[in-house]
Amino acid sequence: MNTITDFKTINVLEVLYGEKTTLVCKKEEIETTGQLRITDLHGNSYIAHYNLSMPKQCFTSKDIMFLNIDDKSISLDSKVECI
Amino acid sequence: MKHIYTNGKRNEAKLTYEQRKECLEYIELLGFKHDISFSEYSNTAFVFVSEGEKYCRLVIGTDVYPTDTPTTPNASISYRGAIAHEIIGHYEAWIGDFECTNRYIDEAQASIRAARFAPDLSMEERINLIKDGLLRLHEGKIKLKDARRQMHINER
Repeated sequence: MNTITDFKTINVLEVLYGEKTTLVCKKEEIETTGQLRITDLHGNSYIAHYNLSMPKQCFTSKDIMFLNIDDKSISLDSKVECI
Repeated sequence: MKHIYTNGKRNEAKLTYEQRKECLEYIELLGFKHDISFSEYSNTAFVFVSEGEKYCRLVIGTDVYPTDTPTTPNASISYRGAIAHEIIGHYEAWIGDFECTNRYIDEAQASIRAARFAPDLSMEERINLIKDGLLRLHEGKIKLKDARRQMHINER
Protein backbone atom coordinates (compact mmCIF):
# COMPACT_ATOMS: atom_id res chain seq x y z
CA MET A 1 0.00 0.00 0.00
CA ASN A 2 1.38 3.40 -0.93
CA THR A 3 1.45 5.51 2.24
CA ILE A 4 3.11 8.53 0.70
CA THR A 5 0.79 11.48 0.27
CA ASP A 6 1.60 14.27 -2.15
CA PHE A 7 1.04 17.63 -0.54
CA LYS A 8 0.89 20.84 -2.53
CA THR A 9 4.14 22.77 -2.13
CA ILE A 10 3.52 26.45 -1.56
CA ASN A 11 5.82 28.86 -3.39
CA VAL A 12 6.75 31.34 -0.63
CA LEU A 13 8.13 34.60 -1.98
CA GLU A 14 8.60 36.47 1.25
CA VAL A 15 8.15 36.07 5.00
CA LEU A 16 6.82 39.04 6.98
CA TYR A 17 7.28 38.90 10.73
CA GLY A 18 5.32 40.57 13.50
CA GLU A 19 2.54 39.66 15.90
CA LYS A 20 1.87 36.87 13.44
CA THR A 21 4.01 35.66 10.57
CA THR A 22 2.64 36.33 7.10
CA LEU A 23 3.82 34.29 4.14
CA VAL A 24 3.60 36.13 0.84
CA CYS A 25 2.98 33.39 -1.69
CA LYS A 26 2.08 32.79 -5.29
CA LYS A 27 -1.64 32.23 -5.40
CA GLU A 28 -2.76 28.62 -5.07
CA GLU A 29 -6.11 26.87 -4.88
CA ILE A 30 -6.26 26.20 -1.17
CA GLU A 31 -8.81 26.51 1.61
CA THR A 32 -9.17 29.72 3.61
CA THR A 33 -7.98 27.92 6.73
CA GLY A 34 -5.96 24.78 7.04
CA GLN A 35 -2.64 23.30 7.97
CA LEU A 36 0.86 23.56 6.61
CA ARG A 37 3.71 21.13 6.96
CA ILE A 38 6.84 23.19 7.40
CA THR A 39 10.26 21.57 6.98
CA ASP A 40 13.39 23.43 7.96
CA LEU A 41 16.87 23.09 6.48
CA HIS A 42 17.73 20.33 8.94
CA GLY A 43 14.83 18.22 7.76
CA ASN A 44 12.74 18.79 10.88
CA SER A 45 9.03 19.03 10.11
CA TYR A 46 6.16 20.48 12.08
CA ILE A 47 2.57 21.40 11.49
CA ALA A 48 1.30 24.98 11.57
CA HIS A 49 -2.26 26.20 11.28
CA TYR A 50 -2.81 28.97 8.73
CA ASN A 51 -5.46 31.53 7.87
CA LEU A 52 -5.61 32.74 4.29
CA SER A 53 -5.91 36.51 4.07
CA MET A 54 -8.15 38.32 1.70
CA PRO A 55 -6.09 41.43 1.09
CA LYS A 56 -7.57 44.77 0.19
CA GLN A 57 -5.21 46.26 -2.34
CA CYS A 58 -5.10 49.79 -3.55
CA PHE A 59 -3.49 48.71 -6.81
CA THR A 60 -4.52 45.41 -8.22
CA SER A 61 -2.44 42.30 -8.03
CA LYS A 62 -3.69 39.10 -9.46
CA ASP A 63 -1.57 36.23 -8.29
CA ILE A 64 -0.45 36.81 -4.71
CA MET A 65 -1.94 35.38 -1.54
CA PHE A 66 -1.10 35.78 2.14
CA LEU A 67 -0.97 32.97 4.68
CA ASN A 68 -0.92 33.99 8.32
CA ILE A 69 0.57 31.63 10.90
CA ASP A 70 1.71 31.88 14.52
CA ASP A 71 5.09 30.24 13.99
CA LYS A 72 8.00 32.69 14.05
CA SER A 73 10.82 30.30 13.26
CA ILE A 74 9.89 29.86 9.61
CA SER A 75 12.20 31.39 7.03
CA LEU A 76 12.53 31.51 3.26
CA ASP A 77 14.70 28.38 3.50
CA SER A 78 11.78 26.39 4.90
CA LYS A 79 9.77 24.08 2.68
CA VAL A 80 6.07 24.79 3.04
CA GLU A 81 3.39 22.32 2.01
CA CYS A 82 -0.36 22.56 2.29
CA ILE A 83 -1.83 19.41 3.88
CA MET B 1 12.65 37.10 -8.23
CA LYS B 2 10.86 40.30 -7.45
CA HIS B 3 7.23 40.40 -8.40
CA ILE B 4 5.33 43.60 -8.50
CA TYR B 5 2.33 43.78 -10.73
CA THR B 6 1.43 47.31 -11.74
CA ASN B 7 1.73 47.17 -15.52
CA GLY B 8 4.12 50.10 -15.25
CA LYS B 9 1.43 52.30 -13.71
CA ARG B 10 3.01 52.62 -10.28
CA ASN B 11 6.55 52.66 -8.93
CA GLU B 12 8.36 49.31 -9.21
CA ALA B 13 11.76 50.32 -7.84
CA LYS B 14 12.80 49.28 -4.34
CA LEU B 15 11.89 51.94 -1.80
CA THR B 16 14.72 54.06 -0.46
CA TYR B 17 15.37 54.58 3.24
CA GLU B 18 13.85 58.07 2.99
CA GLN B 19 10.72 56.77 1.31
CA ARG B 20 10.25 54.10 3.97
CA LYS B 21 10.75 56.71 6.67
CA GLU B 22 8.14 59.04 5.28
CA CYS B 23 5.68 56.17 4.87
CA LEU B 24 6.14 55.19 8.51
CA GLU B 25 5.74 58.80 9.62
CA TYR B 26 2.43 59.09 7.83
CA ILE B 27 1.23 55.71 9.14
CA GLU B 28 2.02 56.93 12.66
CA LEU B 29 0.07 60.10 12.03
CA LEU B 30 -2.95 57.98 11.07
CA GLY B 31 -2.68 56.08 14.35
CA PHE B 32 -2.27 52.57 12.92
CA LYS B 33 -0.82 50.37 15.68
CA HIS B 34 -0.74 46.90 14.09
CA ASP B 35 1.89 44.97 12.11
CA ILE B 36 3.47 46.93 9.24
CA SER B 37 5.78 45.39 6.65
CA PHE B 38 7.59 46.60 3.57
CA SER B 39 7.47 44.08 0.78
CA GLU B 40 9.27 43.69 -2.53
CA TYR B 41 6.85 41.02 -3.70
CA SER B 42 3.44 42.27 -2.75
CA ASN B 43 1.42 45.26 -3.78
CA THR B 44 0.45 47.73 -1.08
CA ALA B 45 -2.34 45.96 0.76
CA PHE B 46 -4.36 45.77 3.94
CA VAL B 47 -4.13 42.11 4.96
CA PHE B 48 -6.56 40.77 7.53
CA VAL B 49 -8.05 37.67 9.07
CA SER B 50 -11.54 37.78 10.43
CA GLU B 51 -12.04 34.08 11.12
CA GLY B 52 -11.33 33.27 14.74
CA GLU B 53 -8.90 35.70 16.31
CA LYS B 54 -8.94 39.01 14.40
CA TYR B 55 -5.57 39.98 12.95
CA CYS B 56 -4.35 42.52 10.43
CA ARG B 57 -1.20 43.82 8.79
CA LEU B 58 -0.44 46.75 6.53
CA VAL B 59 1.85 45.69 3.71
CA ILE B 60 3.65 48.49 1.89
CA GLY B 61 4.81 47.57 -1.59
CA THR B 62 6.92 49.59 -4.00
CA ASP B 63 3.66 50.64 -5.68
CA VAL B 64 2.81 52.88 -2.73
CA TYR B 65 4.53 55.58 -4.78
CA PRO B 66 3.29 56.71 -8.18
CA THR B 67 5.46 56.87 -11.28
CA ASP B 68 6.67 60.20 -12.63
CA THR B 69 4.06 60.27 -15.39
CA PRO B 70 0.75 58.95 -14.09
CA THR B 71 -2.08 58.81 -16.58
CA THR B 72 -5.08 57.67 -14.51
CA PRO B 73 -6.54 58.75 -11.15
CA ASN B 74 -5.41 55.48 -9.58
CA ALA B 75 -1.91 55.93 -10.95
CA SER B 76 -1.82 59.50 -9.62
CA ILE B 77 -2.48 58.66 -6.00
CA SER B 78 0.36 59.81 -3.75
CA TYR B 79 1.98 57.64 -1.11
CA ARG B 80 -0.08 59.38 1.57
CA GLY B 81 -3.23 58.83 -0.45
CA ALA B 82 -2.40 55.14 -0.88
CA ILE B 83 -1.69 54.66 2.82
CA ALA B 84 -4.83 56.59 3.77
CA HIS B 85 -6.86 54.42 1.36
CA GLU B 86 -5.67 51.31 3.22
CA ILE B 87 -5.95 52.61 6.79
CA ILE B 88 -8.83 55.10 6.81
CA GLY B 89 -10.54 53.19 4.02
CA HIS B 90 -10.11 49.48 4.55
CA TYR B 91 -8.75 49.12 8.09
CA GLU B 92 -11.38 51.36 9.68
CA ALA B 93 -14.14 49.64 7.70
CA TRP B 94 -12.88 46.26 8.93
CA ILE B 95 -12.62 47.37 12.55
CA GLY B 96 -15.95 49.18 12.40
CA ASP B 97 -17.58 46.29 10.57
CA PHE B 98 -18.83 48.37 7.66
CA GLU B 99 -17.00 46.80 4.76
CA CYS B 100 -19.11 46.71 1.62
CA THR B 101 -19.85 43.33 0.10
CA ASN B 102 -19.58 44.70 -3.42
CA ARG B 103 -15.87 45.09 -4.07
CA TYR B 104 -16.22 48.10 -6.37
CA ILE B 105 -18.23 49.95 -3.73
CA ASP B 106 -15.79 48.83 -1.03
CA GLU B 107 -12.84 50.25 -2.98
CA ALA B 108 -14.72 53.45 -3.75
CA GLN B 109 -15.61 53.81 -0.06
CA ALA B 110 -11.93 53.41 0.84
CA SER B 111 -10.79 56.11 -1.56
CA ILE B 112 -13.58 58.52 -0.70
CA ARG B 113 -13.05 58.07 3.05
CA ALA B 114 -9.35 58.71 2.55
CA ALA B 115 -10.11 61.84 0.53
CA ARG B 116 -12.47 63.19 3.16
CA PHE B 117 -10.84 62.25 6.43
CA ALA B 118 -7.10 61.74 5.96
CA PRO B 119 -5.01 64.46 7.58
CA ASP B 120 -2.28 66.40 5.79
CA LEU B 121 -3.39 65.73 2.23
CA SER B 122 -3.25 68.46 -0.39
CA MET B 123 -6.35 69.36 -2.36
CA GLU B 124 -4.82 67.64 -5.40
CA GLU B 125 -4.28 64.43 -3.41
CA ARG B 126 -7.88 64.50 -2.20
CA ILE B 127 -9.22 65.13 -5.69
CA ASN B 128 -7.20 62.21 -7.09
CA LEU B 129 -8.69 59.93 -4.44
CA ILE B 130 -12.22 61.11 -5.19
CA LYS B 131 -11.65 60.56 -8.90
CA ASP B 132 -10.28 57.09 -8.13
CA GLY B 133 -13.36 56.28 -6.07
CA LEU B 134 -15.71 57.42 -8.80
CA LEU B 135 -13.77 55.46 -11.39
CA ARG B 136 -14.11 52.30 -9.31
CA LEU B 137 -17.88 52.73 -9.30
CA HIS B 138 -17.83 53.36 -13.02
CA GLU B 139 -15.83 50.16 -13.57
CA GLY B 140 -18.43 48.25 -11.58
CA LYS B 141 -21.28 49.93 -13.50
CA ILE B 142 -22.66 51.26 -10.22
CA LYS B 143 -24.44 54.58 -9.88
CA LEU B 144 -23.13 56.92 -7.23
CA LYS B 145 -26.59 57.45 -5.77
CA ASP B 146 -26.98 53.71 -5.26
CA ALA B 147 -23.49 53.28 -3.80
CA ARG B 148 -23.85 56.28 -1.50
CA ARG B 149 -26.51 54.46 0.50
CA GLN B 150 -24.06 51.68 1.30
CA MET B 151 -20.92 53.68 1.94
CA HIS B 152 -19.83 55.06 5.32
CA ILE B 153 -18.40 58.33 4.04
CA ASN B 154 -20.07 60.92 6.23
CA GLU B 155 -17.98 60.52 9.34
CA ARG B 156 -14.79 58.88 10.49
